[in-house]
Amino acid sequence: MDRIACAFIARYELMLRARREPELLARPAAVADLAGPGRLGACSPAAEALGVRPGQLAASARARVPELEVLAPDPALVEEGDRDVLRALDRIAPRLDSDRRGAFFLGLGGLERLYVDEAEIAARVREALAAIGLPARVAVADQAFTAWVAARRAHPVRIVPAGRDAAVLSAIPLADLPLGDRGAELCALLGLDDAASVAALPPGELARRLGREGAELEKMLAGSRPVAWPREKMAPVDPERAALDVDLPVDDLEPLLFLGKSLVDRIIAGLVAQRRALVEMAIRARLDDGSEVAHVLRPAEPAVEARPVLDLFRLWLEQQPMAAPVVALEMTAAATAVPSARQLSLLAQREEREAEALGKAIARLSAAFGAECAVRPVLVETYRPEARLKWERFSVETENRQQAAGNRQQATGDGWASMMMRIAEPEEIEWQGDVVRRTGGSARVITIDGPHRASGEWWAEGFDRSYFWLGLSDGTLVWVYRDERDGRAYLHGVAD
Amino acid sequence: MFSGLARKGTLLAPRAEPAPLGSARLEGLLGGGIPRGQVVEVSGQTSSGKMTLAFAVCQRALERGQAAAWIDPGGGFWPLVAVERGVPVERLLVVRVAGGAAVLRAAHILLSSAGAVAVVVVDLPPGATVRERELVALQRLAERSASALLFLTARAKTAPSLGAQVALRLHVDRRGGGVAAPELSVSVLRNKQGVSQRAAEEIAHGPDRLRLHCSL
Repeated sequence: MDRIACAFIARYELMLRARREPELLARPAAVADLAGPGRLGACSPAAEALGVRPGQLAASARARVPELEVLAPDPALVEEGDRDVLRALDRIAPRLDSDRRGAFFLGLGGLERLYVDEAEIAARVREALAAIGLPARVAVADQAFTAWVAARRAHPVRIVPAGRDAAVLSAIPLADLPLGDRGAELCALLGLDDAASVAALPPGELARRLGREGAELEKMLAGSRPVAWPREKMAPVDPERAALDVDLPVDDLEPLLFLGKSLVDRIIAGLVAQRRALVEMAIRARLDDGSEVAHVLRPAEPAVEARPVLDLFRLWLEQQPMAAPVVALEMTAAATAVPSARQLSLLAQREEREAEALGKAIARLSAAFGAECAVRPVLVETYRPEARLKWERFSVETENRQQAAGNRQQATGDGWASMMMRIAEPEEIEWQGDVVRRTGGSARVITIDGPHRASGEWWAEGFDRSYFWLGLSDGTLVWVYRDERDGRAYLHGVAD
Repeated sequence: MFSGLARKGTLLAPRAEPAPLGSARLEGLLGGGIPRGQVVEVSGQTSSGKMTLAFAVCQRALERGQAAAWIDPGGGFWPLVAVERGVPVERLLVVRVAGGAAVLRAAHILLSSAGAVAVVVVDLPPGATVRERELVALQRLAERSASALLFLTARAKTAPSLGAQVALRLHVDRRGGGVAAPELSVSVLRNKQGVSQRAAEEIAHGPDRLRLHCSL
């Protein structure tokens, strides 16, 4: 079994800032995204000494410590820091990954002959990170998640013996997991009190209940293996891939190039969105006689455009005509790399042009329909269902393309996550037995899913609802609730 | 290795890379996805799943860091399930306007800025019609900006398409599977760049349930 090491850098973003401004750690300071929920992230030791803790609302922390310096997150600094750390660790192990929040993972498989033992690897990791001004705690375990939780509590190194992950997890209190308030509350309701019991939940459960933070935690709990970095050294864990089947076998050069172009375009677009460049493209073609042909294209430099790959594809087809017509074609990005500075600059220019075009479109929309017409959804922490989405004005300046691409979720994968819906102001309906009557007609209830209770806001007017999904005889799937305070039923939404 | 579904008419495929749908079966059926620069109609009755299909196209664009626009005339578009599942919505532009004419004007404005958005979904209000010359104008703009342009309509399967300019018409039906896992059937009623009258089925996971919350 390949072992995994985790290097954890506490107060990661503050430590990155402290490399430039060492006195920062001596001042009460914390990082918080005031444009978002406004909760504190990393806090300086001076701030923690005054009772400021990560997760507190910035406003309440400031009320307690008026001199607290609240710093806006700096994604560019974190990205630069990630690269520095990964470069430093690349000298120790070839397979690396980062959670972009101060945890770095090293795949230790195959390194047995290079180091005396895991303790030596851990020591080298600490030395490498200390050399770039980032003190780290290091742990080694069977699973990435175990290594991560152990590293957070290591002083400063912990080697979890092989096969002992479960014992370590069972001793980790929930407070050490990145569950957030809702997650902690949910776990308390479910009677889960340590990391092992959370890890034992059915797959998908955390993502379903906690959204993005649940999906991230689940990925971590699943012990997902480190990916390679830089990518030249190993195939990506989840490579970009595209395939086409054709009914009418193709044997001419130009039609084959045309087919190939659509696949190459798609793969390159996917890679560029992840800020990757293509190093190797594996091609497999299935021929009409049942045989298969495979080939690997290697551009002269990591490619972020389709043209050099297509040139190589054309050369290959010209030099090695297919023995029979092609009935299916598949391409896979077998190896990728971080684009060069020049390529990154070109990509940035392209993105700037697109952002400029989007900005112009929004300005024209606002002029035509009013400033509030262009919005985007933002999740809000509240119990009231209709208030869980807030619509904020769409602003090109504040949107972050890289963040969007970085938020790409493995969990969504192929297939559709779930049905979309529309909601409206709750409309009172009459629901008795298996008949629903509303303005304009009635329908029979065919299927019922529920009830799902929603209640809260006792300090104000409050609400107490039992929600149901009803499949009606007219084919509609409606979201209704019964107000538990007066027994009336309301139509709240429709799936589509 | 390869999907079982075949596709024809690949040689007439559009030049720009199709917009992926997140369903291998449908993508195989459509030659890679929704063609860009063409007028695409997604029809279906209420609760058929047409919004689900259209949002799947947006989701794939958003995951690539591209911008996607959803023109919402009724103000009822409610992507809570997608947001909670972690779909990156930083670049999801929801345009709230009133009336069929305003919807088309908004689409016109968005597509006029070439490269601004990768996907435009126009949720047509019930009963709204679109004149052919408006469709032609929008198609040309979509072609210039290489955007995927989808119209959502509530037309029945047997009803005619939105117009002759529609290059691809998909019709969505919810076949059953209960509330928890509805099965969506997608039929290709028109495909100027491939074969029509093919169908694929996709199982969605159902409208997400409300989370369990206790009263404070």
